[in-house]
Amino acid sequence: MSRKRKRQRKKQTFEDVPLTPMIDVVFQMLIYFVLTFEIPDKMSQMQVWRPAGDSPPQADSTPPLNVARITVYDGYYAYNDTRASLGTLERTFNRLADLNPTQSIIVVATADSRHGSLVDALDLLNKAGLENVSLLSSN
Amino acid sequence: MKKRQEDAVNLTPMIDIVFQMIIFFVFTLDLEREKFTKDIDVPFAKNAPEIKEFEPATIYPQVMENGSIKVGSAIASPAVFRSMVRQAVKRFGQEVPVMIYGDANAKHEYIKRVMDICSEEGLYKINIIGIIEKSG
Repeated sequence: MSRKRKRQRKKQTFEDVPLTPMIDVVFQMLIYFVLTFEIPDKMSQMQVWRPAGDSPPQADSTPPLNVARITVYDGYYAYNDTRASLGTLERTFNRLADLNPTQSIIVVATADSRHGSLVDALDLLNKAGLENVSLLSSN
Repeated sequence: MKKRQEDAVNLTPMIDIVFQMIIFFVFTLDLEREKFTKDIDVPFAKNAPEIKEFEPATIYPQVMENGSIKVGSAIASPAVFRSMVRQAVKRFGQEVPVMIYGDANAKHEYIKRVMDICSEEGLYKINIIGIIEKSG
């Protein structure tokens, strides 16, 4: 068999399609996807209601009797004007939820309180199953 | 003869596997996740309901520790953010979900500024995002 003939015969078979460039590209893609792969964070959501913009909240006025009011200060909490820790709040929320899970809750956050403290309180409300939460802001 | 044998290494199984891997990574690639900035330390809220699906119309204001508002990866001034909310309300109505992605150390007044803009545009239902589990 002459060399020329051999080459011609080789070209005709499928096995001799050059795979190298394809494998190169495929590996590049693989490396890209492996490096950009990221397991997403699991996130949760806490739903709150805000007062209408045209009627500014009056957090300092006397609240209705059947509403529980939690105030978030910078570093501590208050439940209906009594200072409370997160543990106290949790027990209170569980008691409230036992009585009435649709109980209205007002959370008042002061301007300098940290967002993290507010989220801690909202998280406990969700844990107790209280979902009717309004969020007011005070100075 | 030896050379010919080397040429004939069977590549098919490797290519099969590599393609499977590529398909896996392409399908799990979630570009939407890039709407959240990495430099915001979102507080944990392990007991609140998990977000299963992100609705496309949702507005995601990110409030950084210093109070600046980010939407996507761009910083938006309160005026710009307000016009974005207005546009969204005009287009999708008052049911547009708002999810606030706030830094745990941000003061409430910064979060309040964002929420006030939303409620002034007619969105009273606000969702606050917490983290159940960090991926690492």
